[in-house]
Amino acid sequence: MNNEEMLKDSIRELIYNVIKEEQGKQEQIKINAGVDEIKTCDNSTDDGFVEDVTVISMQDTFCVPNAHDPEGYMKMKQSSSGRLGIWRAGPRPLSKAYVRFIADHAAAQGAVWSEVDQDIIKELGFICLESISSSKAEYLKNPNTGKRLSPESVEIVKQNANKNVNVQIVFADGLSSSAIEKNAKDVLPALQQGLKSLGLTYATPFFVTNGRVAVSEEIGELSDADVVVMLCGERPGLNSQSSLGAYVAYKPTIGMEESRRTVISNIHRSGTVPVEAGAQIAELCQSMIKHKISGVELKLI
Amino acid sequence: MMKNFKRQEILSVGIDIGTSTTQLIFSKIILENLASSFNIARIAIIGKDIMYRSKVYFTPLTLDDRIDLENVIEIIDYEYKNAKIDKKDIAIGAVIITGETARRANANEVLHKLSGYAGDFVVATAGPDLESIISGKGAGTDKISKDMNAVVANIDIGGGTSNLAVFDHGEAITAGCMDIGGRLIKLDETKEIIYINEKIKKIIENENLNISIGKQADEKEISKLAKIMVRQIEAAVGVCPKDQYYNMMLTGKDMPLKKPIQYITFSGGVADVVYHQHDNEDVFKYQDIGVILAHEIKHSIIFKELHVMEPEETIRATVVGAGSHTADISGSTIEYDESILPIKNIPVVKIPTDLNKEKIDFDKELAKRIEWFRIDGKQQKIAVSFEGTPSPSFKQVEAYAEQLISGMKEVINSKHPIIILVENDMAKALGQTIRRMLGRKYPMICIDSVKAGEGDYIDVGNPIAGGVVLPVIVKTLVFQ
Amino acid sequence: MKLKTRMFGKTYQFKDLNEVQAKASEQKSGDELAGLAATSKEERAAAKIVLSETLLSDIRNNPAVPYEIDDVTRVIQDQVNESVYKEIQNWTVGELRDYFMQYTSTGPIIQRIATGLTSEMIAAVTKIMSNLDLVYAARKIDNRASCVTEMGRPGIAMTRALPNHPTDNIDGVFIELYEALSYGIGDAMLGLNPVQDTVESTTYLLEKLYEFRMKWEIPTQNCVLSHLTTQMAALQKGAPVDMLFQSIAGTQKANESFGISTSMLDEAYDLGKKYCISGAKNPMYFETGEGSELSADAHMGVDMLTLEARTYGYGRRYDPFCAMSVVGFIGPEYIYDTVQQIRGGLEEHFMGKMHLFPMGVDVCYTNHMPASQNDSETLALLLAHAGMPYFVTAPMGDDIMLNYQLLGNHDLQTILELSGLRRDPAFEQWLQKMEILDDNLKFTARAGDASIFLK
Repeated sequence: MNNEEMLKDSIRELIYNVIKEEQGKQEQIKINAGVDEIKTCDNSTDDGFVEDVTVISMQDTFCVPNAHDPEGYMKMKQSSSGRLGIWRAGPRPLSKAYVRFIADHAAAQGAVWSEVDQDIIKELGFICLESISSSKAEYLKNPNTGKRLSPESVEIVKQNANKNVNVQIVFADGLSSSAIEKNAKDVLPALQQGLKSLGLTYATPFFVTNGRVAVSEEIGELSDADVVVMLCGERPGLNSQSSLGAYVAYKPTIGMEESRRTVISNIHRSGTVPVEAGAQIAELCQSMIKHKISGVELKLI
Repeated sequence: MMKNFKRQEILSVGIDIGTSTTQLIFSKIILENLASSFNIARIAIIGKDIMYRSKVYFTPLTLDDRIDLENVIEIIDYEYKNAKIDKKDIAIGAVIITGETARRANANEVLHKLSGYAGDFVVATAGPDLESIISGKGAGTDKISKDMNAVVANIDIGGGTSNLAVFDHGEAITAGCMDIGGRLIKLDETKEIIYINEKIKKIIENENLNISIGKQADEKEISKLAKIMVRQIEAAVGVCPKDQYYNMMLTGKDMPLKKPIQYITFSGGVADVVYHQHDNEDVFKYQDIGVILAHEIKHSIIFKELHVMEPEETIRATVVGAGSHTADISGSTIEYDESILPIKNIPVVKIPTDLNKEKIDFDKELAKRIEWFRIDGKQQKIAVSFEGTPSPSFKQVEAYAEQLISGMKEVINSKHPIIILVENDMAKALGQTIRRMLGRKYPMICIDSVKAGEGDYIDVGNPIAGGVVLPVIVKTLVFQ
Repeated sequence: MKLKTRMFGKTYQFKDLNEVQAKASEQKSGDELAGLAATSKEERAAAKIVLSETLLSDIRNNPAVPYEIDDVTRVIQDQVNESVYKEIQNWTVGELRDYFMQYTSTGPIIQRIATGLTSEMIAAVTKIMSNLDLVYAARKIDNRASCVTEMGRPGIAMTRALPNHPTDNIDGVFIELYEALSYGIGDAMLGLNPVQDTVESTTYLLEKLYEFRMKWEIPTQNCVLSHLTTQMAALQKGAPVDMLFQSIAGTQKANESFGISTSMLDEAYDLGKKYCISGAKNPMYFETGEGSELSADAHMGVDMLTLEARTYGYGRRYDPFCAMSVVGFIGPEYIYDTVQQIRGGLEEHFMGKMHLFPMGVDVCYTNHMPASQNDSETLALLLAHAGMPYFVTAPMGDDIMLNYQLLGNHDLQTILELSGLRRDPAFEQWLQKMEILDDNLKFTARAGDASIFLK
């Protein structure tokens, strides 16, 4: 045995012994991260909480009694966030599954119809803009109204847009205000850090109320940045009410083809991890500036 | 790095130098971007095709029973030529020295010489538990277990050892190794016994069997011995109680069965005889006890108590495993300096604590563990592995970066590269944060979706799939 | 052609038939978005009155999009049975509606008349029918077609299982399939919308589905709904395709935006007849949705319902095994809320049946529509009464890939028990063999346990 091997062997042995000793202590330590703060809504003199049905993931929900292969079932369930193994009462779903559905649907609709929390907008230092939509209903029925800035907002962009920056970041509520509330605080600093480390400059981000993806085109024209990064709330699903999409374009122009945008969708806690999306988008900006294009053509390089 | 990567095939080699046979395979590993077009790339291995299998050679040995490196290299050169494969084209691969051979005097030397020789990123694997899992996967037992949603064991019985791996719903749950094999007694052409393994000698003495060097091999006596050998395997798979020889016959640690085994497959050279035995054949035709051992396995209670199935590979299970099932790939959003790749045989320091609970401990814990790799005042290269919280906030990523840098002070002082392996997806943001804190020039590899434990060694190869991912081999020496 | 009327002393004048058709349509946000909708309830009523007095020959002679510039129009016009048309050309739209309601107008009689109609006529009559009219008339018609099994038999309600997964993960797809089958879902088809639109991935999924269907001897058919060109390439390379799927629309321009043409569909049909492993008599499957022409900027000034009817007219060329409209999927800018969703579902089902193939409606909504599962359940019961040949369901109605809600796996059994409808007989027997259904066609204790397929 050569020296290197002997060395490794002795280290190995040492490590095992130490680990064994430590194992007892360490087993108690568990991850306690990322759980969203629970908002309390207490306006009565009650005797405590009804269990929060929304904290358990669909993967961990299991109600089938005497299943043929419960272990295999659970293992298969890990690969899908579908409502599986929820069982039934007669032919109907159990109350547990029904109220969970109601909760998820309420949150999904809430994400569409609510406004982004002003505190979050302040905390992130966004400059606020709005589209020409007069209401959420109009915005939903006529998507075109979400694609243009109101005259007041045009002025704000003109005043605040910093010419000579590489990247203009824009957030818009899109179809999910909670996508902004849940993800912006992680995507934004990761993106800004990435841009900085790549030597790219960026301006103060805008936030557009009742804004669709295409509103970034007008901002692009007004601000003259090389790249506009639009982070827009995506249409909510029952399992992803807070999903953000990134639509990144080089020198966008009003009415341009969709194919000029590079899209990264599904940015949320259980999809594309927000901090990773931010880091990746920074690199994407660099690539667009280098090749002076975006979208499908960039992919072909 | 945002290339439109769809699909790539890379070439992999597996080389198995066993107690009795040496083999080589080439396989194509197919990588595909599984993400839909509107998502960040997610590269995965979607298929493995064996495209070339060498002949099965007797392992060349020198007169003093060392591996004959020159002859092994000759075999390898011949097979590369025959398969029309250039070493430059090999992206990844593994050399494995199994069985009794691994304990031979020059095994490590051979392993290291070959690992570079067979291709730039062909690495050496080691450790009986890893061999067991590799041969189980090569036999296809993991697939059988997954398809049947059952607990399935593979026993790879070679010349020197029997490697046991147990899979539950496709995942390895137990692995171990015993010194039981077909060439623990060897004969010459006249059936005179010329070699007996030391542990086998003890059984022979204890049982007063009429087997010794210089004598003619006697089928009856050897059958008695083989029955005892098979009983050890029966005990290992839980169909009979352990006897007085059990602990002695273990190569390393015992393999506790976490769940009862439902199905069983056999691979290795002896398995071929188990599945395809012919009557009236000369039991000593291979000049060893392999055929008798196979016969005893076939008549053991394993065949009565468990459902025996035939695997995809028998004699080639280990080499197929080495060629097709050792390499994995990192996550698809990562940060690295290409200039320090590939890296080979780096020991892993695993931090079991989580940052959020034990904020103060993380860097101290890390520093303490890193110190174990300080030898004669010299800090060794290490890779740091931790689970990390799923979908961390940016603040959490910054905290991880600070703690890692603080804990790796000695590594940084020694100007070693920073190598971070994190299980959960965060490597790109974490890598960029570390760079912001340490400066862009500091050499670093920060990859995710890699699970490596304490005591493991890691190899990281040159970028593949357009630079989106890195090939990774985690060498688990002891199965936990 | 009469294009004006007076109502309560006020005159309503329309410039052409397309305007009458658009303004006679029930309120839908898509027609408002396109600027085609009636601007008041009175104007809508007036348009309905004018439409009810319009002759079928006027509609035949004024197709929604000119014959010369649109091959959807050409397909529709050219497949009219001229003898039948001759008999009815002088009927008004109102007379056609009354004819459908007569006791003497049985299914086969209506099916014969249907061969003499253009899609625009069918759209027109639909606009002067109430919800109950649509249910009543549709119930009379049973259109049959066959793939591995037969669809459209009277008294039978089948289902498509929808095992979609955001990354096509094979374990994820199969657990959803197991779950569906354990609730007695899947006799219409095991139909997966894949994420990856590649020949390799489509072939792989088809092979897995086929292997599964064979292993468990399930009397049904499989479909992987990638683009038609992808499926054709897979079929040519020997993939086990039971039927070929494509989304279609009601104008040539919209179909071009889907990357399809009549010659391509003709080729697919021939290929399917020749190579589909099912040996299908009817190897095509179509999906449609109101608003798809508008969203492709290809509506040509025509209202959504007329375009939807034209879509079915186009599909009829290929005698599909079935078609399905995704009523609430395309978004609130086309179908805004519950009222529009329920109306749209009943209209589409009736119009599909008038085009002589088995027609299903994916009873569904997205989360940015003011709608809920309650409304879907209401529509489902109405469609069961209307004799819809098949439904589509997902676990608890949640499609985790397309992010919308449809009917749940539980809902079919509930509907069958309430309506006295039954599953496909062969599938029913298979479910009994699997001990999922008992002798009374109720769930056994094993129903709802997907893990029975694990061993």
